[in-house]
Amino acid sequence: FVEFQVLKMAMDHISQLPEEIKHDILSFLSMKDSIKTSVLSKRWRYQWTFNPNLDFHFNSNTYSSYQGYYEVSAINRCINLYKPKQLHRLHINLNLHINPSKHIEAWIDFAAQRNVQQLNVMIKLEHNEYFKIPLSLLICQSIQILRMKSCIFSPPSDFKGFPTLKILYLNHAKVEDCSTLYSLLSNCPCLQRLGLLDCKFIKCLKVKTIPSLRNLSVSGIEHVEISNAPNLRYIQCSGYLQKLLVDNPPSLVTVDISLASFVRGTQPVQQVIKDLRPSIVSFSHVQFLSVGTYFPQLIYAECYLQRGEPIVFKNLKQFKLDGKIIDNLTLYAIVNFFSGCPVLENVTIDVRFPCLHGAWISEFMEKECVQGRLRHGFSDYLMYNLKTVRLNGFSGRAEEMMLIKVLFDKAIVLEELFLYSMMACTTGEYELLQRLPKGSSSAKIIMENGLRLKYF
Amino acid sequence: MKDSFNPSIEPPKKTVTLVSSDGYDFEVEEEVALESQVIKDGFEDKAVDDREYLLFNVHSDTLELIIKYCEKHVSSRKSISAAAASSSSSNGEEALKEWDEHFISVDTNTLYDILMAADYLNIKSLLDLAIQKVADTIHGRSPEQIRKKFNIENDSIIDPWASE
Repeated sequence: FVEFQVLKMAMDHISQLPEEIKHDILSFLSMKDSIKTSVLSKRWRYQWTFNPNLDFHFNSNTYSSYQGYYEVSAINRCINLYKPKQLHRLHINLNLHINPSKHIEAWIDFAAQRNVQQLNVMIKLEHNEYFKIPLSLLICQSIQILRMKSCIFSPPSDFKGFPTLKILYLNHAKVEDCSTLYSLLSNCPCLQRLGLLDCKFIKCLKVKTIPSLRNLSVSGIEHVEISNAPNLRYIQCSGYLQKLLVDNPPSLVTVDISLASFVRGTQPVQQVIKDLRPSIVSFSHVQFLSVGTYFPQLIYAECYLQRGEPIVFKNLKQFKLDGKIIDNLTLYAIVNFFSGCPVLENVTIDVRFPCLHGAWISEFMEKECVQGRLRHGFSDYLMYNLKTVRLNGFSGRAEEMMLIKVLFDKAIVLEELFLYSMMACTTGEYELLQRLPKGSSSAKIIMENGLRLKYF
Repeated sequence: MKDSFNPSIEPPKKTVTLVSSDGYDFEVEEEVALESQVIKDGFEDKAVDDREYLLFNVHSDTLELIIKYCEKHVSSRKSISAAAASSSSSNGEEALKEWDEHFISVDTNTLYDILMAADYLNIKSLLDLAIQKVADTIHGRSPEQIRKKFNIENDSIIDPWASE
């Protein structure tokens, strides 16, 4: 009977764990789960206030009648209850209709005083308002990850930088002038990732010597110039881009400019392509490239109008193109682009995206054709390494069928052609594709239609 | 090279004796015992013939599990680095993760014993594994379910979630 009792009376071990382990358990929990433990028992009532991570993710538009007062007071309550002297992480995700900049500054102050390592303050304020970064953060030596939205960044002239900062994202931040930014960047010796998204007043980024930088994402910056970044591996740009000059860092592997555009409005195409070549040549050694349809179009136009040597992407293995193939000229441009990619293995074309600026460039080129300066057609070459082609949003348009025909013809080691379409293809299209002559005997067509896979 | 003529003579593997709280001896290879940061810290200072550790806080049932864990991790690390050296692809890390998951799927009392032992012996990866397991158990459960799972007695006067 006694044994039976012992087995039945299982112990509440977890409440008796050493404090540090309990704090570790809490740090592995989400904020919601962590606070939930407060109702378990008296012992657990304030246990959650020792969780070294504070995450506040509020869905936008909940409690909209309070205009954000609810969220602000909830954060204030949690912060007032917080006990430890150190804080590992503070995340705040918030959309507000009020501007409680005093509170926000107090939250950052609270984190900085507790030697925070990861600070995300992503607060969207209405009417393009901003909050100020308090001085305490600027002297915080422990910070490793810093993500800020809607902040004014204007450090004093004797700002020493962040000695251990690895990741910096400024989103919709107000940086008074570029020299402030440069002094920040040159004072962060460990910075690996840098993101500058829609920052007012930064239209030009000329960075010299960031040895630690690995990833760079920018949006809304027109002129990007990077030199002496030997570890830079990844660049992503979006928005209008006039120049993208990278000083040929050998480690640069990926360039994603699918959401960027070298064309703005109805800017004359001649003018665009005049400045284009140095930019493209500067990153032509990458292995992965993601672009919009305008990119091969511009290269095609540049190549013919300037009568220069075609640009060769000698290491390009993977190529992604977003945008509809609107006409034959676009098709020629794409096929022509492939001729400069000798080691290309993998191509993905997503025709569900609009062809940004494509019609404008096409119109211009059409005119050039009439004037006889541009002669087009498919150049004569073979693709010795292309193994996989994926066409997303395939709809059986004449240009798409033509592209497939050309690729079948040129890609002599092609293994798989994936066609993803939202609509069911007719058997006629299947048969037509199947009958196309193929340069590679092992080429397979795989139709993906929603959930259905069909092999041929 | 000499050994290759007579494979039966191998250099004896260095071992360490771990003694559990209930007095059982466990003889384990040196590198397995060194998974514990506590043993590692004072290891070089100890005489070679005196490598015996009395673990007053660890019961033999738990110690057996801890040794099983350390042995697995030592051998996996070796095979992963061997695969990396020969640049052959291996899913060693994946397999180890799966093994870990299986290993830590124990009842709450055993989980508590493992937690305490991993903390006492300072085995970081095992401690993290056990803590993650507790966190996973709390995640997505209602307070009442958590109480039941961990045998926590609800002594709060007012339970704001009681109506749920």
